[in-house]
Amino acid sequence: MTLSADLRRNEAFYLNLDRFEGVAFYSDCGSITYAELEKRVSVQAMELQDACEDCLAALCFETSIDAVVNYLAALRSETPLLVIDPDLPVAQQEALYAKLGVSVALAGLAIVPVARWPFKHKLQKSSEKLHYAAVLLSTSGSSGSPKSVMLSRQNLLANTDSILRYLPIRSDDCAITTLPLHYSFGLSVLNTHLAVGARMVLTTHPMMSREFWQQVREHQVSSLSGVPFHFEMLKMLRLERMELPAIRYLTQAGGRLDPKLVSHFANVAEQQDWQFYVMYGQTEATARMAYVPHDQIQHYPDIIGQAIPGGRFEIHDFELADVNSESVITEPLREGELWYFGDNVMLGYAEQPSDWQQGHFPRKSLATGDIACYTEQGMVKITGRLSRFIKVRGKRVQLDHLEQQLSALGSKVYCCGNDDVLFVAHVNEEHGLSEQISSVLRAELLLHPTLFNVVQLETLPTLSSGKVDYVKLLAICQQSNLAANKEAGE
Amino acid sequence: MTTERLKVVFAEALGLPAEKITDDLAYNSIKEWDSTAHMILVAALEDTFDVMLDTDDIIDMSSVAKAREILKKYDIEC
Repeated sequence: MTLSADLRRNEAFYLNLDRFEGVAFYSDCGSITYAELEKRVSVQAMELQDACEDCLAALCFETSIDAVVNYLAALRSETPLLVIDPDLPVAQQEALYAKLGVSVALAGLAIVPVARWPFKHKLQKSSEKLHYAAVLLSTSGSSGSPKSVMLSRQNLLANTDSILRYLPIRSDDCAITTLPLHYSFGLSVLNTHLAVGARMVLTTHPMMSREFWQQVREHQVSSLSGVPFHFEMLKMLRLERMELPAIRYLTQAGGRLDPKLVSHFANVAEQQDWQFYVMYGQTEATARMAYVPHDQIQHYPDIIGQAIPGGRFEIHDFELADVNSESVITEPLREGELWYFGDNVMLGYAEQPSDWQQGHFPRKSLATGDIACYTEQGMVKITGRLSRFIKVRGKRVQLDHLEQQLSALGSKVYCCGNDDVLFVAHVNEEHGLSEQISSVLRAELLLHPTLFNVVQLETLPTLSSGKVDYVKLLAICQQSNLAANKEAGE
Repeated sequence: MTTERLKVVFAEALGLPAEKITDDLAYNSIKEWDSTAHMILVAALEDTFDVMLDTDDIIDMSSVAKAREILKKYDIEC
């Protein structure tokens, strides 16, 4: 990167957008240049400042130019912004507004009051030393009780800078929205491309459609990003056979990709002279925490690699009660809980208005909830998970919450699973409960029937303490799943 | 006969009753026919009719009628 490009990059990605030339975004209905974007963002930032000074605004982050203008205007006017999945049912949206004290909703370019005026909940800035919530992102899709992660401007800028230091993003690049913008991974693609003045296609067409690939060719898209599910699609579409001369690299995050698929795409990348980046992150760390250097991916398809520039990992023995210098594991292959340290660690979760209204001391450390060890080469490898959540199709499913939700059907259920499939177990012999559970998972979690399995057991495996033995439960469920698949195959 | 089989494959992949599978049913128009279901559908069509669909077939398969048309190319009347 040249010096002048570096200097331009040092400015926040939401400021002075007219320092860049040419197109910023292509959408399904037109395009916008950086100069035009700057004009629209500065006007909307002033509007926002007038209409909702220091109040919380909500944005259904659709894949559109208007939504991007609103996002950038909120950052610029320092209006805290709750980012919402446009598919979230209205009732849940409204419940979230009430819980967090949203005053206005941004729809198109309109600023619509949703609370009674004068607005009650305002940001209370008191000290320069404290950091304030700029964006509230949701950790999960529709699996109920989504947590709202509070990210500061400093968090967003730190993570953007780190990502630009390891991904080969250039100002002549063009990305495409394979991921929704309300999702931390999708948002990081947007932020990093804005930071260098690159272009981005805001498409609403899915990856499995002709229109999507037409746009990829027409705008000479130079990178594709996806969660494991996207790479399953790319495999089915036989990406290696497509004529895509502008592609330079692929990035994957959002859950563990099967090492077989990692190897497959590492080989494809080598043949095509592309780079393939396997990455690791969480919304709690703004987006990214680790990446596998692209020249190592072929040899080590099952690692998360190393911390991003500016970040650092520690692995702590989880047998010890406290996390301190004594619990740090340094030798290879010994498992412990993975901790991350960096300026991209969130301020915390917002449960009520006071959480985002006040400033926070940056916490800089995050217990990831993942069990990990170092490899002999000093890279980090995830071996399991402490936290009770799984990611199905990149969407976080909180198992404890789901248990409560499904137990409301009348009989206690137990949830477990891995990133490929969710299991719901119960010991109820009554006819119809399994079907009832299935229809709830289908209708409310929008899970395809192949992504979950309802298992009826005679007895529940328990630990000596009387608590449910989830490790054994998972093994039993996996076995019954295998048996069922075999039967279906015969 | 094959018409029935095509309906059954669609119904199973989309998790819908067979009577809801009509020619004008389109990808991405209902929540049941999302990208996940589309992948499962493609795999199921390949298995059932013993064909290997290419990239263009997969991204062109935007409706039930279109699927029928594509399978015709492989000499499958359905």
